[in-house]
Amino acid sequence: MHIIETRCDEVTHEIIDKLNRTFITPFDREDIYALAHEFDSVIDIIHAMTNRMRLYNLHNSINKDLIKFAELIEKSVLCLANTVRGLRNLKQMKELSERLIEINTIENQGDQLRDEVLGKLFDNATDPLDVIKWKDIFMDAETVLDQCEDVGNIVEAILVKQA
Amino acid sequence: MQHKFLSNIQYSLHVEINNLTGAGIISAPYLYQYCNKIFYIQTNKLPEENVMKFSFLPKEFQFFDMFDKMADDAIDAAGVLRTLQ
Repeated sequence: MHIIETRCDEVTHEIIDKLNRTFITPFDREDIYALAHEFDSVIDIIHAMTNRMRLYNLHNSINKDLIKFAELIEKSVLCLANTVRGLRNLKQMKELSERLIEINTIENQGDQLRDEVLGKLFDNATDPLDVIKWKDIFMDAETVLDQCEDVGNIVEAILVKQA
Repeated sequence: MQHKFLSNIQYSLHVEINNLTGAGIISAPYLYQYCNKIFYIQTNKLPEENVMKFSFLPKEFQFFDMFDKMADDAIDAAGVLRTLQ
C-alpha cells in the first residue's frame, strides 16, 4: 500500500510540475490542480485506513461490516477511475454524468451503512477498546467514499465548463 | 468561411492570448470561447460550432496519461483494502 501511495504522490507532483510548464491545458488549470490533489487524497485516506488497521492489530480480523464497506469503496473507486479516464473523450458526457450519479449513490449507501454499523457496534460490543478501534476504521471507510464524491464534484465542474 | 476567419485572426490571437490571460496561460475551453466571441464580433453571426478546434497536443495528452496512472493506483489501493478483509 505504501508503494502505491508513494507512486501516486509522485504522479501528483508530476502533474503540478507539468501544469506550471504547459501553455494550453485541456481544462482550467485550477481544475487540473484540484483533480490531482483530491484524487491523491482518495489513495492517502485508504493508505491511512490500512495503516490504522495494522496499528490497531485489526488487519487479520474479519469483519462482515468492513467487507461491505470494502465492496462499496471498490465500486466507487472503479466508477471514479472510469469517469476520470472518460475525460479524454467529452463526447461521452452522458455516460460520465451517469457515473457521477452512481458515485453519489454509493456515497449515500456508505452514509447509511456507517450509521447502521456504528449503532450495531455500540449495542453489541463488550470491549470498549474494540468500540474505539472499529469506530475509527468505519469512519475512515466512510471518509474514502466522501472523498470519491468530492473528486466526482470536480469532474462535474469540468463537464459543466466544457458543455 | 471559418477557415478564412482563422487565418485572419491567427496573428492577433497570439498577441491577444497574452494580454487576455496576463500570465500567458490559457485553457482549451477558454480559447474556444474567445475565438467564438471574435467570430461573432467580426461576422455578427453566432458560430454553429466552435470556430477553432484542435486535437490536444502530445504534451496536453500527458495530463490524461497521468490521470490514468492515478486511476490505476486508486483501483490498486481499493484492491489492497479488499484483500485485507
